[in-house]
Amino acid sequence: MAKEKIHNHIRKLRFEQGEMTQQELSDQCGCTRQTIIALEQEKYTPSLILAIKIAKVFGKTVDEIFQLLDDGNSEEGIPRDSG
Amino acid sequence: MTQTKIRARYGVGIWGLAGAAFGLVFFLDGGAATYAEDSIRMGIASVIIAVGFIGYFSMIYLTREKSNDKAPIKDERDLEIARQANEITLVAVLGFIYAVCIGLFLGYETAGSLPVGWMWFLAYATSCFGLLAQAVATLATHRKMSGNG
Repeated sequence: MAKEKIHNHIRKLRFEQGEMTQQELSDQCGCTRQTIIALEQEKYTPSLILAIKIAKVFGKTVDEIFQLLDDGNSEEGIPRDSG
Repeated sequence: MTQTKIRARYGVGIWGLAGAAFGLVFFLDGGAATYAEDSIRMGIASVIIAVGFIGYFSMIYLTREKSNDKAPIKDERDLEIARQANEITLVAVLGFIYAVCIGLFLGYETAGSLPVGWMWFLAYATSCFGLLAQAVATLATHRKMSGNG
């Protein structure tokens, strides 16, 4: 089974939203600042509920923020087209 | 620092100290062979374990979530850390009990019987070890799931 990982753009989006701090984001999502740090460093995969809350804060959809990566780093685990 | 990490740190301190103190009292002055007949050592060991539990539950109470907390002190990541730590702890405790029982069996196999004091050791040491293992496993899992170590 391929190792799957969730990649996210939280850090980038925070800076695009007027340099929002990790504390501000965590307050709006109802989680701890440590969880935001862990998410940005991709050490923790959020629950669907937290992912939706984060997406709402940024006014994006969940899949605009989170992408599923497999071993080969292709997005959503789909092998890249060879042709 | 989240509530989970604070409690785990205190847990390591409390159960590390209580376990070490109990081990000292148990193994000093004759060990298991004389423990069950030595009411002073048994009393001291009971007090050590009782102080450990009182200290532990006081710490749990003092680190509870308060209504005037500005931000959440735990969230879903802490629950996931606790879940993984509990899985590790279960295996560690089973391994500890297995190791102690097999050690006693091998040690007293030829004698055919063993001092009853070992039952006290198993009871108290499993409590200390289980709670210490849970705290250590929590810190290790927390480290694995944290961006800032």
